[in-house]
Amino acid sequence: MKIFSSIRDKVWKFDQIEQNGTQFLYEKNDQIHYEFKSLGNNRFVFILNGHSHLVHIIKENSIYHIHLDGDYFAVRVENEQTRELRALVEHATQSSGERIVCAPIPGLITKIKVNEGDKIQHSEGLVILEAMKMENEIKSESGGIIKKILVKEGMPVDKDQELIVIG
Amino acid sequence: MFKKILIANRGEIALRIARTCRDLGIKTVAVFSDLDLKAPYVHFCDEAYSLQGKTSLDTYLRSDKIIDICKKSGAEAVHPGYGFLAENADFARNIVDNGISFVGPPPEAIELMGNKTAARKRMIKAGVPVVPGTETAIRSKKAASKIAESVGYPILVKAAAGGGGKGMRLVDKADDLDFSIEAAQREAGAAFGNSDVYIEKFLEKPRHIEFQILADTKGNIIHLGERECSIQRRHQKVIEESPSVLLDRELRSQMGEAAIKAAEACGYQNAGTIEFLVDKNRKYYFLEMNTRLQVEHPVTEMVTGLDIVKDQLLIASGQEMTLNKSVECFWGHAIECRIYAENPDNNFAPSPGIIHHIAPPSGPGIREDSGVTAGNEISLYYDPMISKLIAWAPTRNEAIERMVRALGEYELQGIHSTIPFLIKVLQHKRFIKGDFTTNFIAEEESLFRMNEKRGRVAALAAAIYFEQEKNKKKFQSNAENTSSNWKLSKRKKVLDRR
Repeated sequence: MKIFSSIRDKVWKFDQIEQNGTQFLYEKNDQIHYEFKSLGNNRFVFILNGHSHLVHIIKENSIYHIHLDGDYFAVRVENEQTRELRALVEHATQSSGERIVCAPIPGLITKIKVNEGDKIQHSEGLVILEAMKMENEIKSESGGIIKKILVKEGMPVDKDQELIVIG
Repeated sequence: MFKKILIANRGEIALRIARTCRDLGIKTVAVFSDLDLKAPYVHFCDEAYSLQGKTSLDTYLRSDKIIDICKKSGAEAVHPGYGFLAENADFARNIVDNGISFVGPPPEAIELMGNKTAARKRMIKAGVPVVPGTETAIRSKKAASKIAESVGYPILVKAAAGGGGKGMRLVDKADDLDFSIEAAQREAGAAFGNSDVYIEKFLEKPRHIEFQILADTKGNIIHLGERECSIQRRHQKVIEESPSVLLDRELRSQMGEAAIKAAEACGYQNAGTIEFLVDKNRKYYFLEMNTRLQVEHPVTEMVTGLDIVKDQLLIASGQEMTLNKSVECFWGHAIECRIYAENPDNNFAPSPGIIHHIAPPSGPGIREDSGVTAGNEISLYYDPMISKLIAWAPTRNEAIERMVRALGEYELQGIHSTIPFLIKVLQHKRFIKGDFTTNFIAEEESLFRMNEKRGRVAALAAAIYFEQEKNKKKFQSNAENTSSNWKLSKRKKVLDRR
């Protein structure tokens, strides 16, 4: 079985091979030697080629949030099937023509700068989202027409909540 | 000395103040909003009273509620911490008028220095150099654009009542001026209850160096040397250190004298900070005075051996300060990192949530001033700073090494933090050399690059976890099948009997 781990644009490919009922992990043709033991509380001891690490792993759908040596990575892990499936889904949503602007962070909508039917340019300000006393302007990532505004001024929103539909 | 004081603040600073009080045998009274009931400072203090409400406006900014609790609890003094009502002259006056001591400067000094435009005038008169800009608050868009043109872009729009980077906007060109003024006014209104803003010329690539001063009630003023706070993001300080690599003995004593002059000019008492910008020609300009305890005060404590909160309490109760002359010679080097609940991978988006697990570092030379513990929720209602990590060592390089080690040790689950970003800053060769300005973070894209070596280890750990989970599932579904086979055979028997 192939396992794909990706962080941002970088992809690492590993092969999982079963020999005599035991699982082995390979990268290219090299076997990876490791110890990996849970300490509970999402904490793991991970010794890789003699280098030891304390790793925190928290799973959220297909994303693994990894804290390691003071650093943080959001790792997407897939096998061949899930990887192909995701590519298909992404392709389908891209060609439908409608784009939904979501809240990148939770906060309070303090101002809506556009109206339904407005024609907008790339990187035009859409809404002002206040969080932790700072104002953040959410800008459009493409040009188009404001099809629908799904929020009102003064409304609190969650992360990833849909705000505006651009057509 | 006081027997009991009320701490009109929350988070790490409330706990920091309460600790000194306990050292001195002073009883403490905490106040808390609905969301802070479980915060460590609430159960650390000897008494705690609810402020009934969630937002800052309903709780920590309500001087009437705080004064009522003072009376109810019998607190003789109020320590305001930083932020909230710390630099609100009306609050200080209200406290004093009610026969309670205010652990801070006289209301007149807060008023003068809180009004950034009046402060600038006074400083010019006292012979302290200031940054060019407006003398009064902006009254119209037209007037604003005229002033902006005359000092020349880029300019800063700043809250007249502000500080700490809130209600401040950098404007590069005339087109952005109106929007920036509106945004700064809204932010200033929400943060300080006063939406006045003014314009100041933006000095390009300066360094931010500030002086800690202490002034007693008998007219003695001393300084405790400088803190360099040039590592900033969106005008918010990120890393502070003392001493600064930029200052030599001569510049330090010049700036120290200017700081004392500034404090004298406003009749200052208690602990305060004079902020300066230093340009590339090592010329310094008065930026503003913070009439309160600063977030970054621990670095000064580490290199002077003082407890600044203790001196604040000594001064407020009319006693002598610990030292009677300025400090020009420091004990080693100290660095502070502010740890925010923000995700550096996603443009520092706030990261609210519940802290499931937290294990701060320790070891030689490490101090943590934290305001949270496991089970606490980081909400969107207050400042996202959760903790300050301070490293001390005999030399700057060793202090950097210790800080990197300590940040790597820090375990935090449930929310994102700026720890990975802080490590990248500390390991950057320009930071290590001391070659930076307030622009450092904005101009160093490498701070946002992934460390691929560590990335590969993370990728592998995730892959192994993924595989183990899959095996576990396989085992579980096998187990389920087995049990349903039992059920099936039992059912078959029952049916056979019919």
